[in-house]
Amino acid sequence: MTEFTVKPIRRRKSIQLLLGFSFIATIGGVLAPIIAYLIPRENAAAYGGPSEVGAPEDFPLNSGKIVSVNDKPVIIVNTKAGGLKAFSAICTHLGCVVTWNERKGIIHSPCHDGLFNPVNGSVISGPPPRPLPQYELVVKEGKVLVGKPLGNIYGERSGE
Amino acid sequence: MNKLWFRVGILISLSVATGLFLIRVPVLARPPAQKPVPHVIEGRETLCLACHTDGVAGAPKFPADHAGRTNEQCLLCHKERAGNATTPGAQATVESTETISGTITATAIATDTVTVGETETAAPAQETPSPTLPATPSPEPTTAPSAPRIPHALQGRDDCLACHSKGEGGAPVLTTSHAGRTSDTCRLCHQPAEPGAGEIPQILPTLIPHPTAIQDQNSCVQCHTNLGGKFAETVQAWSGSIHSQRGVTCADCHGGDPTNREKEAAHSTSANFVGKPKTVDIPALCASCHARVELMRQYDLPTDQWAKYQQSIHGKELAQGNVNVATCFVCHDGHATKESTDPSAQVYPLNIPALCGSCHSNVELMKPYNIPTNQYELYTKSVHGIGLLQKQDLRAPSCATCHGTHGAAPPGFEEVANVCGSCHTATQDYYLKSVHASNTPGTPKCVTCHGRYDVESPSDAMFHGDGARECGSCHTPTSPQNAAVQEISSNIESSARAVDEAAKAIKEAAGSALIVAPEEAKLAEARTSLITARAAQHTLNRDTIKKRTDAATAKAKEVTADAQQAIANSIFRREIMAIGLAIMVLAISALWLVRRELYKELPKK
Repeated sequence: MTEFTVKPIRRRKSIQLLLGFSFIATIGGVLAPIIAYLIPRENAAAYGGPSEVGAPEDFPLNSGKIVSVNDKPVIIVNTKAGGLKAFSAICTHLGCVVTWNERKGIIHSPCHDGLFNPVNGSVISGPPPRPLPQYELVVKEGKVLVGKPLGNIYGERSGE
Repeated sequence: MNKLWFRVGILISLSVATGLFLIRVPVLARPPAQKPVPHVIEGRETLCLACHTDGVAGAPKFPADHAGRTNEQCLLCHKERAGNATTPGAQATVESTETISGTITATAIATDTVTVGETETAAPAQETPSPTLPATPSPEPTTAPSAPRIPHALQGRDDCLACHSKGEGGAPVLTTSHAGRTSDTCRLCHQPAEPGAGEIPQILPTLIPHPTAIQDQNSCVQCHTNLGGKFAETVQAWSGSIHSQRGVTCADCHGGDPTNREKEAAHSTSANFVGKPKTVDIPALCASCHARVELMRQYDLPTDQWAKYQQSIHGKELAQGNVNVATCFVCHDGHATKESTDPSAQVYPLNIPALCGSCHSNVELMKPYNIPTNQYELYTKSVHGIGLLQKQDLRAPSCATCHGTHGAAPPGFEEVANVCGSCHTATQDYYLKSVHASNTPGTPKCVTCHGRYDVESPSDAMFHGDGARECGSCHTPTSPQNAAVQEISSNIESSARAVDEAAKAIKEAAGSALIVAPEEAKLAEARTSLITARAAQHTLNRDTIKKRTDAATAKAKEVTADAQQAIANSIFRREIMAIGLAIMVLAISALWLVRRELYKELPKK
């Protein structure tokens, strides 16, 4: 007859298991953000880094297009006088989203006819009290990258 | 009877003889053939010999027996030709000056050529009545075919020698034969490139010849300062004025001779002293400089003020002799004239309402015109008044923005409200598409709903009430228009509520330390649709409005859902965190138990 020796799990063993689990959980909690930092997701931008908004061909001369930069609406304009520029697409009057006026070749806020200069974001006419803040924009390796807001390059008041 | 005829005969004979004598005497008494001077003498009293010695510019040389005579002696015998000229300073009317500007150069040069020769008794032009010269010196009726013409404009370049003595800026240097000549003599021979090219047409009435300002020689200032009191105050006011800085002196408006220190001489009529100009003359006096493009260009000032003023109610009243109206002097700080960009100027935008109100709020002053006097009070409480006066926002309109400045409420300007669209462009575009803009009697204008002086921020309550500025004041509750009003208001209000809820949800989410940037971007889109819907209500087109309110509502609901989802996610994360904390507590407990076991195994001391 085989004698089974039932080896009761001792309390110490269960405690050690518990300890091991919490140790692994803690290590995982520390490592996860480090790995996420070292291997970032594509186009994540992570609020601060430049976001890719397209290729230069997506913004032909005399056009304006609203894109999302870090979840904020930004208008990318391309004019003969100013080239590719990025401005906040939020009107400084009542916060409406601006549009591109094809006929006039300027940035237009549809709510109260606020008109902005597509070269420096300054107010051409209408009720907006301040210019549109400009965003950093670079073209690198066939990509248009938009970075952080530069504030107003025109006018005395600071940007948003 | 015969005796009577004899006496009558003697009487007639005596009368005829006396008459003949009286006629003959002056003829006999006239000195023999002293040629009259065919040009203006004033200003050239000391220059006779400069031209008449060598016959410069065709001037007749004086004969040999005149040798040794001085300029003063010339004038003892040779007088200015009768009707030859109006001396500078004489009051020229608009009509006469206009005529002169157009004809003086042409007629003078063509017909009034003086032929050299002693025996000439009269220049051919004497036959033609000489035109009256304008108040300012004009080209002389002489020609000098050999003298090069002046290729540049003459305005502001009276001092020829300033450039031509040393050849400043490439100007031709004076030849040696011209040594000793002064700037005053140049234009006796040298004419502008084209007849009249360098001349400023004197189309404006001016009482005063505007003498050339002489630096540091303004006796007006010295005497009037010494007089003290209001005289000194006036001088002080002028000293700080823009006119003072630009070299416009007392004599430019008051006439007189500022170079003379004796009051009688300085204030003499021969020095064109005007003193205090009459109120009715002030606008034209100011315009004699301010309506001249060639003078005002350098200061970047408009030149249409006078033309506008004459069209204005102020100008028309003044023309009818009403001196209580606003003139240039009243609004432009009197003697202390300031630029409109000077914040202390009465015409600086922030100060305009008070300036207009200083007369228009005066019940006594406005009584004759039967116009209200509460505009200023109403304005200060309006969105416009609060914007300008309290928030100091220079984009907000003052009285002048709507009524005009110099052309205050001119004819054909019955409806001041027509100017609202010059700022409220988007709203005007919508309004013009509406049936309200059909211009039929009774259709509302901007002021019907928004007021005139007391413009208030509009609210949705205007849809529902029947007050003076509300939809119900025209559209009765049972009318089909009222049904349309209620439909429009219902769409706008429900959309506005949705946007408000979305904003509230975002705020709540942000309060839970959530990142709400994507929701905020969508909310901006919803707001854009709502604001354009509100503006588009002026079209009265229900479909247009509904399209926008629907867009706003849909976007707002999306934002609300997103924000609520984000809040739900946040709650989930907190739950996870609670579990994590529980694990930590377990781990700590486990460690504590291990520690206790280990202590138990230690040999007891």
